[in-house]
Amino acid sequence: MNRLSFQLPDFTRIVWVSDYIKSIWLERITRICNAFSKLEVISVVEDLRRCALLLLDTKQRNTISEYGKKHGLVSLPISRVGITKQQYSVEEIPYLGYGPYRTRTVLAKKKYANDFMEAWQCNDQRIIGTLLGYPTCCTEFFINTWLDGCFKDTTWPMAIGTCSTQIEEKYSEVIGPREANILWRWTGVRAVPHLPCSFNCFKTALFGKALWNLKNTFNKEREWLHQILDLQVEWSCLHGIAIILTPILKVITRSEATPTKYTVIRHGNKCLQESWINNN
Amino acid sequence: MTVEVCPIGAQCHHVCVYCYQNRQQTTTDLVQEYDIQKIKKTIEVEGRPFTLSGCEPLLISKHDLEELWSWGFFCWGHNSLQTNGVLIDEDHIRMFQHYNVTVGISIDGPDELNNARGTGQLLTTRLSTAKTQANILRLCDENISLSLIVTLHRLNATGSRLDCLQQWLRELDEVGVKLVRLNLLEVDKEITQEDLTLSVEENVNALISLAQFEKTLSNLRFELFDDIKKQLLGRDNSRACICNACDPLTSRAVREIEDFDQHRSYMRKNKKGIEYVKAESVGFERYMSLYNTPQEYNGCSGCRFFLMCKGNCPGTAIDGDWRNRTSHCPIWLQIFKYFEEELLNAGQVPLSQQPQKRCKVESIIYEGWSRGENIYVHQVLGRTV
Repeated sequence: MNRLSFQLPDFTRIVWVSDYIKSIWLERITRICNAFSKLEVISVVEDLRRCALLLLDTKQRNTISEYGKKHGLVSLPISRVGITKQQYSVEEIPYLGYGPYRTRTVLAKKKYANDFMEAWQCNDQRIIGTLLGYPTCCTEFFINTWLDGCFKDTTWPMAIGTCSTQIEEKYSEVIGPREANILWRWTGVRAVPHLPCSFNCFKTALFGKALWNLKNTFNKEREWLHQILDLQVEWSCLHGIAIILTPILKVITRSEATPTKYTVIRHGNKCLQESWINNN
Repeated sequence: MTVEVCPIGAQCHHVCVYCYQNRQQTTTDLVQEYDIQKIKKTIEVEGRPFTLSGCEPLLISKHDLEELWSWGFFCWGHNSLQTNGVLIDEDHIRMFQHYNVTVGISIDGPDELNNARGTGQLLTTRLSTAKTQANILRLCDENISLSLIVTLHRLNATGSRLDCLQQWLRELDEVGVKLVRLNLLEVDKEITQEDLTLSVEENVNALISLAQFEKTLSNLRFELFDDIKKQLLGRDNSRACICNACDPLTSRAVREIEDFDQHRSYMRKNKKGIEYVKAESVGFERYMSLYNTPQEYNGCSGCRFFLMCKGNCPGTAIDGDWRNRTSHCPIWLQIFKYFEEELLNAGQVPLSQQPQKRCKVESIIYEGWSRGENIYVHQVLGRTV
């Protein structure tokens, strides 16, 4: 991927196809996001993984701390970060020592807490990834693209890494399990906490399925998540701006500053039941 | 900033060849209902005067027009309307006078010069044009505040057609028309491309010819040229929206209100025919991106007219993608140069000819954009640079 030398400030904006669709799906998306946050915690309690990395405000920290104690977990603060107004942000806002903040916190089984803290201090991404339950292939992908390659939007490298795609120099059509569809993350909707290495990463699919089936909770949210992740999505990136088109909304967010347009289409359903209704 | 009220959305009795709302017309249900009370409530929230617009707002019942305009007059003391002028009748004229309605008429010239704006059939199109022409004269007779929008294309802006356009404009000058907005043709569709598009050279010639022609008129002014000169001098507090860093997701220059509380993003840049609801926050990523992107990749980096043009209207962007600069760039570039020279000859130094000052202004404005704030050049110059 050719990239220009500039980078835009972090931003994410969302526009809906209609007020009607928004009135239905905004609340559902909020519920999906809330469910995902809770599942991140439950996944440690239920031994799906050893640790979870969370971003919590003070009230949430107290709640999680109490909850963790009850289940033999420890929650350790790592750092304080400032609060951004953006819906989704790639970069952490540094906490300046005053005003509201959130705490990056690791929630872990007691025996793994020290391992995590050591790995965090040494910036050992492979151990961190393992403790967080991320597939090895995705951790390697993260190291190669996000850290070494300085990509802040991994969509195109993901498409390159996806098998069975129709791929041209700057255009790719992909298919794959819904859990590996990370193109909704700017809205907060995601099946897994990590950045998958490809749109058909099998290990990501297994991890996502296991996460959303934990304790058979959040059934309604899971159903909505599946509806959303099964929708057709078109991502395109040009001059540092990505536009993600879906049947219900459009996301505009910061991406790689490419001189020409790159496009990824993830095939899926082109409408939801509500889209058929006169949405005015 | 204009609040455009479009109770019937993109509905129109005309099928103008180049209309950017044709896509919306084919993708929305043409039988659209509206609720005047809800529209009024939404305008109240905006808290500013509105322009009745859409494709053809005079398709709205006279009863509803009267209700909207009487309310607008009560709230703000005036109203405005953008129409093709065909349907205007005695009742409308009474309302224009009674409720202080400023009328904007879209017409590309007399007779065959206006053939691109019509019904799809030549005979009825010519009849419609004749009605509009007659209504313009009638509005002038009645001293109703009137302005025109003229789009330049192959039917009105080359050779003898351009002479004919100028002759007609001279007549309008004599009857008292004071303001004409010139638009370049937005090329969205193959049919527009084939039949109507002017070459860069033809567009430039037409604009410069009209700029010189303007000097021979008594009353009539082309708003576009005034705007360009003001932009070059850093006086960018004009009405023009195309050079003021318009956000394609919220279109600060134009807020469109349909029925209910739905605020659409400005239709002109909805190239896929989907009328998205406006974004909740304003953003200037297009302009920061264009500022940094080299010109060879459809950006504006290094252009000395960036502050005056800002990549121009997102609705005219190259490939219909607002992340690119306008496809009209080669035209605007020459027009800016023309007026830059004219100002220099008149002893005024445009900002485009003051590299150090221009760079400082650019960096202050860029900083503002990165904070989500649009700072105008005249505001920066009002401080010290």
